[in-house]
Amino acid sequence: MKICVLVKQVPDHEAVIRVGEDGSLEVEDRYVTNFFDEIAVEQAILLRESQGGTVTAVSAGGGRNVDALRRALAMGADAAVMVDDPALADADGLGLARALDACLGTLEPDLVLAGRVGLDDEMGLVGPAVAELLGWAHLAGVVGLDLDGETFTAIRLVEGARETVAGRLPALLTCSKGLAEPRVPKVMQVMKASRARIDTRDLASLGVDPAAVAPLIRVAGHTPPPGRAAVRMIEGDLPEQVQALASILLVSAGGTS
Amino acid sequence: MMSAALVLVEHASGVPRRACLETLCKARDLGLSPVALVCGADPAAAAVACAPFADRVLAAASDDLERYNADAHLALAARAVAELSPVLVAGPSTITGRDLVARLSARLGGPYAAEIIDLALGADGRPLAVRAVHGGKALARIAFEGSGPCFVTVRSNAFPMSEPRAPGPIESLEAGIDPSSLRMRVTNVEETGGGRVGVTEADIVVAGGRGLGDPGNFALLERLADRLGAAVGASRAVVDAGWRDASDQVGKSGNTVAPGLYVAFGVSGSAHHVMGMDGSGVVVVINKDPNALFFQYADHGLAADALEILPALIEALGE
Ligand SMILES: Cc1cc2nc3c(=O)[nH]c(=O)nc-3n(C[C@H](O)[C@H](O)[C@H](O)COP(=O)(O)OP(=O)(O)OC[C@H]3O[C@@H](n4cnc5c(N)ncnc54)[C@H](O)[C@@H]3O)c2cc1C
Repeated sequence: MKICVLVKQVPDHEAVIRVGEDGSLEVEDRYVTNFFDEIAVEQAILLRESQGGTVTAVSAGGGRNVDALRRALAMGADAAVMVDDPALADADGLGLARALDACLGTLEPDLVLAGRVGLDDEMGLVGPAVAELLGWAHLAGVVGLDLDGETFTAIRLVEGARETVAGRLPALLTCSKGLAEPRVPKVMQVMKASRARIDTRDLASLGVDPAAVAPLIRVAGHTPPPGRAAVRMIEGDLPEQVQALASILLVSAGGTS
Repeated sequence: MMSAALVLVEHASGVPRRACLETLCKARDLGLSPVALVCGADPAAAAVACAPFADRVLAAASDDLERYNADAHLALAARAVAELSPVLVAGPSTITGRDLVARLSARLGGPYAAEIIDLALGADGRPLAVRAVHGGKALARIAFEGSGPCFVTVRSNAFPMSEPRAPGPIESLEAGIDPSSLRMRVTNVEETGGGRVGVTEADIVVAGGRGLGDPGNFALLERLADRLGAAVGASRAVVDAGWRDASDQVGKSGNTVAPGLYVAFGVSGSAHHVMGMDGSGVVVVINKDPNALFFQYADHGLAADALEILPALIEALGE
C-alpha cells in the first residue's frame, strides 16, 4: 500500500505574533510541524508497520515547509516530495490543493492522510479540497482507523457524536487528536533526515498552469484581538465569595440569549 | 432582485445549529435574501425552525441524508447553488460543516474562509469577513476575489439572533440521490455529552480541569451546568486522563468555543486552552493558586478551592 501524508510547518504556539502598524502580521521565527500533521505521519507509519507499503510525505510552497518534510522523514517516512514554485508564494488553500492534486496524481497513492487543520491560518481547506480535486472520498476529524485490504472503518468525532464510517480506498482522511501519538525521532534519525534528498518539483513539471493557483481570497489586513480589561478578583470570606460569584454568574447568564 | 445567501443547515434531532440560524439573521441584516437548505432523513422539524429567519427553506428528505454523508450532501448543496446563484454560501463551523463547505468551494472553484466571526458587504456588494488566526493572536480581514459565490463557515455566537418573522415558505427539494454514488456509510453512531448541549453550541460553558482532583467531582460541575443551562467543558489534561470525553475538550487540539459566559474551575489557563475560548464573552476563573495564569485572561477571578466553592455555589443558586 502506498500512503502519502500532507505536511506543513506552522508557528509554534509560543511564538510571539504581533500585528504591525500596517496591518501585517509579524511572526517570531519559531516554527514546528503542524500538530495534526504529525498525527497523520504517525498513523501512516503505524499502517506501514502493520501492513507493509511505503509512506511519502508531501508538502507545497517550499521555504520552511522543507522542515516538515524532514520531520516526517526523521519520524520514519520513506520519501519526501516538495512542490515548490514562485507562483505558490501567495497561493491560498485552493491553489495549494491544485498543486498537491497534480503532485499526488504522479505518486498514485492508495490513501492520503492530512491534519484536520493547520494551526496557522486555521482554514482547514487543503485536505477536503485535495480530496475533491482527486475525486476521492474524504472523511474529516478521524480519531480511529482500521484498514482491511481495500476497505476501511474510521471513527470520526463530530459535535455530539462518535460516528463509525465504512468506506473504500482510495480515500483522503484528515486526522484529529487521539488517532495516534506522534513518536519523537531519535537524534540519529534527525541527522539522517537533515541530509536526505527532497524530491522537488515545480508547477511546469506537474503540468499546472500558474494562473490556476492564483489566490481567491485576500487578507486585507490584521487587527489585534479585542483585549480584556484587567481581572477583578473576588474578595471576602467563603460565604461572601460564593454570593459574589453567584451574582456574577446570574447577571452574565442573563445577558446571554 | 435581492442576492441570495444560502445557508447549509446542520441540525441535530431537528434543532438547527445555532450558527446556521445566526447566519440567516445576519444575511437578512445585510440586505441579502436568506435561504436555508435543510437535508435529513426527516428535515421537517429543522425546516420549521429555520423558516421564521429565512425567505425560503429548501428541504430535502432521504434516508441517505440522515447523518452527514459528503457525497450526498455535496450533490444537494451544489444543486442549490446552481439554482440560486447566491452571493454567499455558508455553513456552521463544525467538523462536518467545514468539510462540506470547503469541499463545495473546491468543486465550484470559489473563495473560501473558515470559521468567520464577522461579515459585511463591501461597496461592490461582495462579502468581507473577519476571522481569528494563530489561535486568536490576531484577527484577519478577508476579501473574496472573483464574481461567483463566496464560501464561509461561521463560528457560533458570532451574530445575534433577530426577532422571528412570518415564516418563509418551505419547499421540498427532490433528494435524487443515487445510492451507488455514496462512497462511505455511517455504520454506527454513539451519542456523546450525556444529552447536554455541546460546548460549541452552548451560551454558557462551565469547564473543569485537573484542579477538580477526581473524575467524580465533575458531578458537581454537571449540577452547576444543569442549573445554568450550560455545557460542561474540559481541559486536555482531564480528557487525556480519561475523566471526560474528547468531545468536551476546549483548546487548540479540541474545540474552539465562544459562549457568552465561560466559567473555569481548576484549569491552569495554558496558552493551548485559552486559544480555544478567548473569544468568549464574560470569563470567570476559579483557581486555588492566586498566581494562576488563567487570571490574566479573565474578567472575574476567584482564588479559592473549587471543591469548597462548587457545593456552596450550587446551593446559593438554588434549583
Ligand atoms: C500540542 C498541544 C496541544 C494542546 N491542546 C490543548 C487543548 O486543546 N486544550 C487544553 O486544555 N490543553 C491543551 N494542551 C495542554 C495544555 O498545555 C495544558 O497542559 C492543559 O490545558 C492543562 O490542563 P489543566 O489546566 O486541567 O491541568 P493543570 O495544568 O494540572 O492545572 C490544574 C490547575 O488547577 C489548579 N487547582 C488545583 N487544585 C485546585 C482546587 N482544589 N481548586 C481550584 N484550582 C485548583 C491548579 O492551581 C492549576 O492551575 C495542549 C498541549 C500541547 C502540547
